[in-house]
Amino acid sequence: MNDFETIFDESWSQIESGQFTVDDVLERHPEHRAQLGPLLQAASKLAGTKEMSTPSSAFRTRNRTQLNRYMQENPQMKRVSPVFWRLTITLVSMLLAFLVSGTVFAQNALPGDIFYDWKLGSENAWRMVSPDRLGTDLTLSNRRVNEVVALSGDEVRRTRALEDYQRLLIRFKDANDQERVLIVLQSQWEFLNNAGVSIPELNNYLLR
Amino acid sequence: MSQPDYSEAVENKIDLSVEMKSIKAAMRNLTSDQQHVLTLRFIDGMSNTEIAQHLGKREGAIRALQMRGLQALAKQLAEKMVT
Repeated sequence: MNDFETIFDESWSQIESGQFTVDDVLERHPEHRAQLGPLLQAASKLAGTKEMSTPSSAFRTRNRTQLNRYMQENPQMKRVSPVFWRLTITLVSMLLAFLVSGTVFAQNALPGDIFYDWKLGSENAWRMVSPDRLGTDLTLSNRRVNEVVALSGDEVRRTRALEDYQRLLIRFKDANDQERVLIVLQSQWEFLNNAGVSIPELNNYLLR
Repeated sequence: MSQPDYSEAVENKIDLSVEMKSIKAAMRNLTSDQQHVLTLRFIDGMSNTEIAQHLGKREGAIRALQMRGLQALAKQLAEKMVT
């Protein structure tokens, strides 16, 4: 509210309450007389029509009661503060940034690492949306083989990667494109062999 | 016994009636939002806050409608006085 509006509101309150007349108020604000005068005169004339049309006080009280009741029964929806929206957008952006950076970081995790479950979760999501599930499973099997080799000195952690790899081998048995599977498994066998790791289930798969 | 003189009262009543007509005519030239706000504010005696709640608008918007409406009304009433 600017200064003039404040002066107008205060002046009108004083006139409405009978404390001052329009002339009194204009004398108190000579610097605004030219602008304030016509507005207060117009407002006074408008307010004067109230007496001319004279609705009874009972009528006005009844109307006001009805209006108050209506306002209570039909409350205006509270406006959501722009600060709330800004905060929400910031929080959602931060959450998305955390999810994306966490997922990228998790891709290098090994079994037993804090982010390993996150890695498996993102792989499951990838597999669910992938149009080439066999291709995705073959890529994931390469990851498990790398993990098995990376953890060759840690039996406990390596077991988890091995179990996941064996689950993938079982899945490959049902695949239609066995030629594609065998090419990948053969290269994995060679890689494992060079690293001095033997996985009996893989050997059986290639020999059957 | 002399009759009471009603002539002054009658003249006043006629003046008021003419003024009311000119105010009504001036009000008709305002936008409906301005008419609504001025009526609620100066005839019904509601505060700007009450009017804002009643019309579902912000108090600042009500205040702006009130000021613009009053300016337009004052201008029209002044023009009517001249004519």
